[in-house]
Amino acid sequence: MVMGDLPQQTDLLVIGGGPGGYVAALRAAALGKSVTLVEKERLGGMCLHYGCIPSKTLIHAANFVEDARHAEEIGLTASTSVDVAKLRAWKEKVVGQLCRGIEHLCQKRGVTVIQGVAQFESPNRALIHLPDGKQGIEFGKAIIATGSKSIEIPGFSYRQARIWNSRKALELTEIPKRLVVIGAGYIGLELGFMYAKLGSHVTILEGMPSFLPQADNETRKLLEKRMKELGVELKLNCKVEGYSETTPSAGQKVGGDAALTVRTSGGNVYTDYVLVCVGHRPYVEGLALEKARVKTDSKGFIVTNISMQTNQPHIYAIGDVRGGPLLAHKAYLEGKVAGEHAAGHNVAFLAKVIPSVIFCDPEIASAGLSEEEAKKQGLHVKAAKFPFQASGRALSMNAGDGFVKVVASEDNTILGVQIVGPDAGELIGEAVLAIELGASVEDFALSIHPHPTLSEGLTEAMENFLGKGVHS
Amino acid sequence: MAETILFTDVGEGIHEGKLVQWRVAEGEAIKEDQPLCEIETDKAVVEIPSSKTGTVLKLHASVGQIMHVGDSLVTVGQPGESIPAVTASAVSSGHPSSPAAPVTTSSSPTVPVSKPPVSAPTSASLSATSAPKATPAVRKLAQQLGVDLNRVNGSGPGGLVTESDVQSAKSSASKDAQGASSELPASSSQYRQAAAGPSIHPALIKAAPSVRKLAFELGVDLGRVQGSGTGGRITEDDVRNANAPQSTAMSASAPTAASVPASPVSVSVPAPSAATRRIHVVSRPYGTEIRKPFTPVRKIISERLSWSAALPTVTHVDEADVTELWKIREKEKVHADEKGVKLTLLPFVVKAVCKALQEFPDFNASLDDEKGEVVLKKYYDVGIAVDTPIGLMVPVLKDADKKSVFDIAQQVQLLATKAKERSLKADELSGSTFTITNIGSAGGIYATPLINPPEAAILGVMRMQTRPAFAPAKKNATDSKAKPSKSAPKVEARQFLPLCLTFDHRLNDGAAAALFVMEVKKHLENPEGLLVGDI
Repeated sequence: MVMGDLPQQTDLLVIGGGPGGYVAALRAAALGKSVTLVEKERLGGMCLHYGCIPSKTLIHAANFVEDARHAEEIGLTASTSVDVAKLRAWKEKVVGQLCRGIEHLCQKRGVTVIQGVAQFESPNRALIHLPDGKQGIEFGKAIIATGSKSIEIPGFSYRQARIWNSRKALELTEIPKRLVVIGAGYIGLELGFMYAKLGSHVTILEGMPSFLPQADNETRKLLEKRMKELGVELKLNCKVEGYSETTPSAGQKVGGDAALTVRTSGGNVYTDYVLVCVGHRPYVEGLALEKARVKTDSKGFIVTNISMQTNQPHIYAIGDVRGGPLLAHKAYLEGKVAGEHAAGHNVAFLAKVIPSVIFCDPEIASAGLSEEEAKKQGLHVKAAKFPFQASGRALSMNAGDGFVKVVASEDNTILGVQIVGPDAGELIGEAVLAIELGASVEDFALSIHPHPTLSEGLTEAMENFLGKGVHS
Repeated sequence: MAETILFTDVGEGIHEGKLVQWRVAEGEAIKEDQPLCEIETDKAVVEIPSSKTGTVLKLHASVGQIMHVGDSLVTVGQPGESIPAVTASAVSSGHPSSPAAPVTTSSSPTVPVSKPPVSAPTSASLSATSAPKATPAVRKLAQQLGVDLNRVNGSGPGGLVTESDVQSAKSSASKDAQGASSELPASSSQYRQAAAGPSIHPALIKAAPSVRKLAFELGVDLGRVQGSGTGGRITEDDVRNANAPQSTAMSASAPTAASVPASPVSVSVPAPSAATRRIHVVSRPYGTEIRKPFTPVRKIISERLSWSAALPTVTHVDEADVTELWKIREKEKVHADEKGVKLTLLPFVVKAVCKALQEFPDFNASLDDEKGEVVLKKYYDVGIAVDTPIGLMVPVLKDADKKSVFDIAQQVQLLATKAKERSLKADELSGSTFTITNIGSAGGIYATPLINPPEAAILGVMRMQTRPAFAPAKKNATDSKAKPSKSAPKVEARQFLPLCLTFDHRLNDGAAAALFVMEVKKHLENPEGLLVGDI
C-alpha cells in the first residue's frame, strides 16, 4: 500500500478506496486539490479484491473447464483437472497487478493514501484510526465511498467456516463437493454456475416463486435449461430455516459425507458449504455520520443530489453507499462527478442508462428499458428479437442459445437492449452508446457490422424491428 | 388562521437573495415587525420583519437557500394549528425592510418607490392576491409538489397553468436548491430525472451526453427543447438557443432587477445584444484553466452595464488646474486628519459637480421614453462608484448640494467602508441622480466611464498630475512693477486633474457637455466658492 504521512488538514478527504473513491481522489488531485484517501484494506475495494475481478477471473477458468468437458462434441479430446492452489495464485496475480496499478496512479497524482478507518467528529473534521494510533484531520470537503457489505441472514454467521459470503467464496480455499447457494439473484447464480463448472454439486435455494427478477421469462428458461445441463438444482419457494453440523455417524445414509444439513421449508439439504447471496447493504458503521450531520434514507443509504452532494453540500457520497444499482461502473462515474464537483466544477451524473451484466451461462447483459419497464412507465414502445441460433458466429462458437432484443419508441428511438448469449457483456457497450446518443433503430441497422461476429446479432434485431430482417 | 409570509421585494428591485440566518425558530412566539430572518441580496444584507403576530408553525426555507420574491418564508398561526397549503388567499406579504419599498405586493400601479413617482417598478407586479389560473387537479399537484402557483407562468390557453408547467417549476426549483436544500431527490429515481424535467419522458429525449452536460451547465430543461438535428436530435446549438430567450427576459427586466439605484423612472430599452448572446467557452487542453462562478453581483453589473453600453453616449475629456485647490486641501487635510477624516480632492469635486448641475439641469435628469418626457431632478443625490472585492458598488450621497466638503468627505468614507463590508442598506444604494467615479484613485490618464442608467451623465475623475505649466495670469495685477502685457509667462509646477464626462447624447449635445465640464472646472479652479460656510 502506498503510505504517506497523515496530514493535519486536506482539501478533500476521500473515505474508501474502491472504484468510486480512488477515481474521485484521482480526479480531484488532477484538478489541483490536496487529496487524502483513507482505505481500511487495499486500494480497489470490493470490486477488485472480492467482487468483479476475482469472480470474472475464476469464471473464465470455470468456463474453460466446462468447454473442455464438451470438447468432444466438436471433435476434440481433452482432459482437464483443476489445481486449486495454482488457480488461486493466478487469481491473486491478476488482482495484485491491478491493485499495484491503482497504487501507482495515486502516487503519480500525489494522492496521500492512508491505511486506516475514518470516523467523523464534525462536518469538517474526522478522526482516522490508524494501525498504530489515531489522528484527527480537518477537511474542506469529503467524499464518502465506503461501499456495501453482504447482508447476513439470521443463524448463518459468516464467522462460521462453512458459511460463506461472496467474499469467502472467491477466496477459493477449496472446490466443495457440495455447495448450497442461498439466494438466486445475480451473484448467487454467477458463483453457483462457477462452482458447478469447477466440479461442485450446487443447489440454489430461493425463497421467492421466481428467480433473477430483472430477467424475462425467456431468459429464465434458458438459465434453467443450462442449470439442468450443469447439474445445478434450483429450489424455488424454498425458505431456509437453519442448519446444523452433520455428525459423521448420523448423516451417513441420507447425506453421505456432507458436513452440513440445511433445514428448509422443502426439506433437508445436505451440503459441505453454504454460500449466502441475499444482497448488500450500505457500509456506514463506524463513520459516525450523525457527527457530520449527513442524512441517510430508511435503508441506510446516504441521500445525495445528482452532483453527489449530501445534505451537507461539502460532503459527497458515491458508489454503493448512496444506493441505486450497486455496480462498479456506476461508482466510477459517480467518483468522477464527485471529484470534479469537489474541485469546483459544475458537474452532475447525467447518464441515461447504467448497463448491467450477469456473468452466468448464457451471459446476460442489459442497457436501458426492458419492454415491460417501458410499458409500466406509460411509454408506447415496440420490441423485436434476433435469436443467436441464426447467427453464424454463435453457432461456430457452439453457443447458439440466447437472443438480442431491442426496445424502441414509436419514432424508432432505441430505448433499451437486452442481450442473452455469448459475450453479451462485451456487446452491450455499443447499445449503451446508441441509447446515450439517441440513435434510431434505423441508424443502427444501417451501420455495417463485421461478419461473422456476434455483433451482427444487434443489427439483425434492429432490422427485424423495422420489418426488414433477412436472416430470421 | 395560519398565514404564510412570503419573501417580498426588499425595495431595490431585487428579486432574489440568499437566506443567511433565521432569527426565529419553529414554535417561537413572534410579534409583528420582529425580524424573521436575514437575507443577503446582491449588495446588502436585509432583515425581513414579520407582518404577523403569532407562533411560527413552520420555516419554509433552509439557511443557504436562494429565495425568490414570492417564496414562502414562514407560516405563522396559533400553536398546534395545522399548516394550510400555501395558496394565494392565505398569503400575506412580509413587511418591506426599506421605507422606499413597495408596501405590499399588490398589483397597484401607483406604489411610490422613491421621490417623484413617475411610474411603479415592474418587479412589484407579482400578484399574490389574484389566484392564478389552474384547474383543481393542477392546484392539487402544485400543493403536493410544494410549487407556488403564483410563480408559475401558464403555458395553456389564456395563461392557464398546466400540470407540466407545475412539474417543470418543481424540477427547476429543485435544481436551484441543489446542494443547499436538505430535500434532495431520492436516489432511486434520480437517474431518470437527471437529464431533463418531467415535461417529456427522459428516455425519449434525444440528446447526446455532451449535449446533456451543456444543458446541465446552462440550466436548460431538455424536455422543452425542440431538436433541430436529424430525427429531432437536440444539438449543442439548440441548447444554447433555448437558453438565450431567458437571458432576454432578464435584460428586459434589468432596470428593476439591478440593485444600483432603482430608478423611479421606467425606461424601456432595447435588449442589449451583449447580454442576450450566451457564449459557452469550451475548455481545451492547451493549458491550465480555472473556472470560477460568475457571481450574482457580477451578473447585476453585467446586466446594468450592458444596458448602459447600448445607449448613445459620448465621453468628453478636459482637465482642471487644481493647483490652488490642492493647496487648500493640503492645509485642510491636517484638520480633517484630527477628526479621523481622510480629505481627498473627491469631496471638492462632488461640491463642484453639484454647483454645475444646478447650472445645467439637463445633466441631473432622466429620459422617460414612454411618456416622451425629460425628468429634471431638483435634488442632487450623487452616486459614488466604489471598488469592492466582490465588484463595483454605487452608494448614494443624498442631498450632496446641501452638505459641506467636510461632511461629504466623512460620508463618502463611511459609505465606502460599508460598501466593502456589504453592510449598505437598500436605500443607501438607490436613487442617485448623477454618478462620480474616482478612477484616479487607481490610476490612469483618461477613461470612458459607462453611465449609470437612467442618469444623464457620469464624471470620471482621474489621477492628479503635477506638470510644468505656464502660471495663469493674475486676476488682479495691481503690482506697479509688473507689466502684464510684456512680462514673459512663467513656467512652474502645477497640478492638473483630468475629468472625463460620459453623457447620454439623447439628452445633451457635445457643446452642452463641454460647457458643463467647463463649469465644473471653474469651481475647481476657483475653490473659494466651494468652501463657503465650510470647514
